Amino acid sequence: MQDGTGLHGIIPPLRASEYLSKHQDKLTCIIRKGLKDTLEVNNKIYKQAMPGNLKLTQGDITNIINYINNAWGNNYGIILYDEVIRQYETCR
Amino acid sequence: MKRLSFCFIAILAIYSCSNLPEKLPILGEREFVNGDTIYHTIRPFSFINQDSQVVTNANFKDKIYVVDFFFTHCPTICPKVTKQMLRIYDKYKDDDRVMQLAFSIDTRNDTVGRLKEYEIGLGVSSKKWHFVTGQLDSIYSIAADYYSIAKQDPDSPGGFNHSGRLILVDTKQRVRSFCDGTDAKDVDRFMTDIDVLLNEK
Repeated sequence: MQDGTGLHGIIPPLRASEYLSKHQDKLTCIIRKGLKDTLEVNNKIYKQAMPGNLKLTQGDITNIINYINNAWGNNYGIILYDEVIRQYETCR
Repeated sequence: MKRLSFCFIAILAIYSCSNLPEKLPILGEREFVNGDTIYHTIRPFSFINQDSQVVTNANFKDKIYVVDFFFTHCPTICPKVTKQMLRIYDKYKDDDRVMQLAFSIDTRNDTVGRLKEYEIGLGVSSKKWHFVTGQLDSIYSIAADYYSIAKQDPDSPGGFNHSGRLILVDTKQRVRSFCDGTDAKDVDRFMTDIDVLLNEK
């Protein structure tokens, strides 16, 4: 959602999300392939699978990560294009 | 043009300052038979909800209800629409006259168990909000009764194409209002329509 709060009990928040801050090295793969595991985000359990999006380019993914890392008061730093390419290679 | 926009503003002002209109229009085709008007209604239906219970028109007897079409693993607009459905739920959860009905358009993946998980995730009650699945064809045909689009489409993200519309149905199975379920402001207007319908005599 635009405000980063997710959808109650179904989609975890990105805003002030400890999960997001702690999984910076996996974000490219998560965005690309989605997630099937049960997640715990800010002490809440989320079971709904996240769909991936194989159509996104490395440039798209770089932009998405930099957006979610810094929107809604988040302050999780900047990811470089080279780093996204490196992560991308691990999950083709 | 100037006069037209003045009229528009005047109408808007009257609309927003006066009390709510007394009645909503009845939408859709109509026929005139022997002096009676026959309105478009939702056909009789039967689907299975998140509790494995059969849901038919009878579940909505004397209720008004809000409909949407979705699927649980939808990558595009459904989460936004569901978020607006949740706003409606929160507003009317203590009002027994209002119910909600969400049709899954991906009946293969959205099993009863999945729908139940979705309901639990949202923290809503199956007494108020049915999430239903059933024969794919029946769901696609009933979508037409609600003037909505639901179809399989390999080119759409997630494999399905559907409108993000919310539809308001009255106690006589007639369609009375619509809104764009991805647009919070339009949903505000829609909730006013729900209030008007509840107050109709």
